[in-house]
Amino acid sequence: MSHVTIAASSNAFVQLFNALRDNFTFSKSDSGNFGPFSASYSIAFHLENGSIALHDDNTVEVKHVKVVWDSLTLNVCFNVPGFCIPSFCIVPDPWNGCLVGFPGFCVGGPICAPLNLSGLVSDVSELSARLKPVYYVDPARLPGWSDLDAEFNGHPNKWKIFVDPVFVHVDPIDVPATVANVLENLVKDAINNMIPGWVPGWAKDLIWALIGPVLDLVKGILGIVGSIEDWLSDLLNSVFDLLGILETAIADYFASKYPIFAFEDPYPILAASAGLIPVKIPIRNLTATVNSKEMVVLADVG
Amino acid sequence: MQRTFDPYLFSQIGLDSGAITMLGSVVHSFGEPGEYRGTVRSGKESEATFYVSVDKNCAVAQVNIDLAKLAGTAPSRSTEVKDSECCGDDSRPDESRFVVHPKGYAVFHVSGGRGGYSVTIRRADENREVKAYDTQTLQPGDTFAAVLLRPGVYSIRNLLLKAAGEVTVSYPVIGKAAYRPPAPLNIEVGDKIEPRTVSLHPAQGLNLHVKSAARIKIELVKPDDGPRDRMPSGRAGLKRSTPVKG
Repeated sequence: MSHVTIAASSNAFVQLFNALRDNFTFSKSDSGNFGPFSASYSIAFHLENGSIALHDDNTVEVKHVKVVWDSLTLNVCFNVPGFCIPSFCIVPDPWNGCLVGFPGFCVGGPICAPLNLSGLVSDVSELSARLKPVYYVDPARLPGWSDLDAEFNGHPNKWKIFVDPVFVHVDPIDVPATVANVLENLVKDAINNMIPGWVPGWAKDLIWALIGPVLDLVKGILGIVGSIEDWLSDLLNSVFDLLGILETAIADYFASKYPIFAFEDPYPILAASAGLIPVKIPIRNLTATVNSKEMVVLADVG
Repeated sequence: MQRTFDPYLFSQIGLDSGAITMLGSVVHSFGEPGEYRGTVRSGKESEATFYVSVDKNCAVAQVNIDLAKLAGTAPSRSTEVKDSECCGDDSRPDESRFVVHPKGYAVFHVSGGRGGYSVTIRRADENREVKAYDTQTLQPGDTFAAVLLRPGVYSIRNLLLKAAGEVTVSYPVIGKAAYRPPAPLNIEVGDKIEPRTVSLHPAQGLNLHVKSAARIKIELVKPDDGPRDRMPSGRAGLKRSTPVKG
């Protein structure tokens, strides 16, 4: 039989979990080149809401935690073949189409469309976990220190109890259909900015006539077959693997970054007072489990 | 395709076959095999020299000779593989040497910059007293390929034989599909221009086939600035009358 038993009701466990959830933040940026276009992203998100349930099979089930994208920006860059004088035929060849052609050239250049999708909300639809106690030796603790020295210097060893996810499932980022209009306007602005100010009005009209509908141009360059929003969703979720990054970040944070509960070892049972040193007991063989009613932590003294 | 925002593309409105710019190219067939030496000129100044081997063993039908590149004024761009490099024994590419079949064509063009070049060519072993071929005087069989971008009405003249014609370039329309210029139109230039009047869409090619000695000049007579130009200058209802004092 264990010497020490600590129990936290499911309500108390929910409070502990809320603190764990609210402390989570994550940010990352990356870029990639995909042939006809390049893209870079910058993300930052935190977690909100969600429900938690404790089960008798020693699992913690978390559902519908919102992933709030504080920052989700995607910069898509590509070359605009804005205005091309095609290589028209000068001397036709009756057998081969064209014997001599006009050397064509294009007016164009690289443009970037910075899409800001911040404020979108994703969903951690399901997270299943078990509690995992980990003994933590403070790396700042010097080898010659006693437990009292470590406590006085603020570097005591600790028992930490983590919520160790067995699996995390995040729903794909749902890009709204309105993003197509946003992208169209961004590309229009970028093309307008690309055209030097000295270009006369008739030439600008000719360039826009040759470019045609901007969304068709973008789809053609980027090789988009379906809708813009589906393409962007695939780029974010699969190509850049933000889903995987998000699931890994959450799992890593829960499993090893922020414990749901922690206490010192040796555990102080009487604080120092009146010139007396504190009374502390060493904790060994710690286990942490849950059932449908509470979290139970068992340990031995010695 | 090369990419450029060369200002001369939009500022050089007229074309002159004797002063080749980005939107006009001269196409010439050598006819006789042999070694030819060409000179790129800007006005009376010699800018560069190049060599053309007209070789019946070479199947190249078109060789593009970039006068701006030869003269060293073309903006640096990605390397373009010349057709001529596939002929000849010299494995080292020389940017001033070209090879073409006797029935093939040399296309003298300008890839960037101000241009205004002419080309003179003579056989390396030719008698100096024989007059050199000069793009300032196009010969029958030559073609001047032109692109007119600026909407408006242009005059076409053969300065040597006083022939004249007219070409109208329509204003671009921004439609529901990307505009693509139709196939080029062909006209003949000699002691008269046939057909005398033509209508082009913007950026549509115009091939002027030379039937007798010619120097072709295309000049903007009446610009078309589009719907904005045709609209009245202001709405009468919004005009503010100037108060009369006194």
